[in-house]
Amino acid sequence: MSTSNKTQAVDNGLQGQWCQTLTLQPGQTLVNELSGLHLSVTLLDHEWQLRTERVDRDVEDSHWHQRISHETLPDDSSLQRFIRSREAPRLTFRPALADRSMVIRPYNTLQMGPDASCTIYLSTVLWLQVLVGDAQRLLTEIPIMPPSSTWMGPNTMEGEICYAGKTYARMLRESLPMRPWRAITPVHIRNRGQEPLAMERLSLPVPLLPLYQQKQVTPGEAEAAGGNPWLWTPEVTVTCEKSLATASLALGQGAPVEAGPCTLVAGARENAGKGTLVRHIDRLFG
Amino acid sequence: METLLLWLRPLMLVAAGLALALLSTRLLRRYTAEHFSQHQRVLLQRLVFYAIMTIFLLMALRQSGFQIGVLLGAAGILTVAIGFASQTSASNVISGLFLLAEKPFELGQLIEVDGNRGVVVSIDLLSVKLRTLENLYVRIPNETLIKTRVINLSRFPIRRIDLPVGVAYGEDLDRVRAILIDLVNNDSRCMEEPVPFVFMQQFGASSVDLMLHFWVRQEDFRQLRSDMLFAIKAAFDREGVEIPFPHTSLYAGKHSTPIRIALETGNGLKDSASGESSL
Repeated sequence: MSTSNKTQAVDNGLQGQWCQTLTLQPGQTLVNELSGLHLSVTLLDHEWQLRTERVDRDVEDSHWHQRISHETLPDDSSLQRFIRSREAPRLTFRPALADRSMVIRPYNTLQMGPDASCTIYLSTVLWLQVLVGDAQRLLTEIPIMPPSSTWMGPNTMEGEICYAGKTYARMLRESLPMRPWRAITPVHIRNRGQEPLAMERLSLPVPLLPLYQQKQVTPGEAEAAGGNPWLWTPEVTVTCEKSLATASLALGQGAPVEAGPCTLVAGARENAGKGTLVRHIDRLFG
Repeated sequence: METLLLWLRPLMLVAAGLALALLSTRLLRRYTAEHFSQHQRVLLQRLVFYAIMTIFLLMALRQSGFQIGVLLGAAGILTVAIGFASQTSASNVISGLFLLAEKPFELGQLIEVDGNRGVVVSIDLLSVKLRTLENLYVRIPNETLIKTRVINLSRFPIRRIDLPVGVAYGEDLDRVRAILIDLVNNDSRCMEEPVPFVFMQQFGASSVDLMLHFWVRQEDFRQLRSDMLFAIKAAFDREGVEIPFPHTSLYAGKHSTPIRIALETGNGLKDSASGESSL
């Protein structure tokens, strides 16, 4: 097995990295352990095989363990087989944001006075995309930690199905715990109304957001994230003019300032057309 | 020869109209797939088909020497005659038009009519066709759909599952409630909001009757209902929560007097004792 792009690979005890291209030999299996997700990718002469297993964990492990196995794995129920056309035996893992909006609820309600503003950092769980060949054909994508579903709307007839998430609504970048399978979104909230604002939940339209990876990390950050640079989305600005019903949302361009120099690793899933944005604004707050 | 030519031209017009109508519907099917629902596509295709065919038929009749005005007058008289003769069909056609305007369901949606539950596979002039979950083909006249109660099970994206759960009277109900809510919260297919809850229904004959309510995506409804029942049974077995079933007690006359029990062997009566009267 050999690697290109970023790190030097050894046969066992690899450190998984996003967007790193690995070359497998037929018969080899690359076993990945990403917190609760165990993913094995096997290369055969005419097919790719994927096996997944979920492991219950109380605490998220921030390291992405990889190893090469030469053993033949059993045909368990999670096995997915993909026909391999004449593509190169190369494998890349790319991060992606969720395919539906994330409804994020703070553990404790966040109160904001009139004419106040703040920036909170929200982290959302990522999907792992398996790409093969030199053309990086997408085989499949798997949520690293499947989020629960939830409903966001004024009643059970109008609204949309979203993913649910919890947040501590941290306001200091330095206090963020780093996990390589989460992307950070700075959300700038401005309350221009005369009434205090209570944020109980916020719908973050993640399918409209691209994903960036930091180019430079401090040694401490790299250690905390298992060698993976942090992943960021553009800043989202929420402005409440009078009440929650009149809140508006603006998506920033490019990576946020606090992320420093970044590279784009994945584009937005959906085009942020006017109609889409309005739809999300309608259901911004619960 | 002249007679042949007289009929050949209208026939060619009808054939050309048919070809054009079929081609138009095929093109519509191909190019409207992205922008319209299945229901809208079928309606549009039929509208275009019948419009083109009507125009070409009228042109063909005109070519044959028919006076359209006379024809329409005759059609009026004919309509009255046919109307009396085919009241049911006419009623179905009119009901079909009301259904199209009201649009209580669309193609591909799951509905329940008169105890028939199935996916709508066709909405026609006289009837609606369903494919039931057992893969049966059911034809329901449009008139029936207007008169009877129709339940559209696919209208909204989410549905609530109500699961009746009975537990023994000796169980700690707060603990039972926590187990049930945990099961829902641990399944990522269940909605976090609207919030799941456990409702106490009644003190039943042999159990405390609870009802677990939680919300799921409409397409997950059947599978998740079954999966949750399996999960509840497994969780109750694991946690030692008793799921009671009806018990019957027999009394031999007096409430306090136990029934005598005798054990028999091949040699006759071997032993006898008084025991608990419950069986």
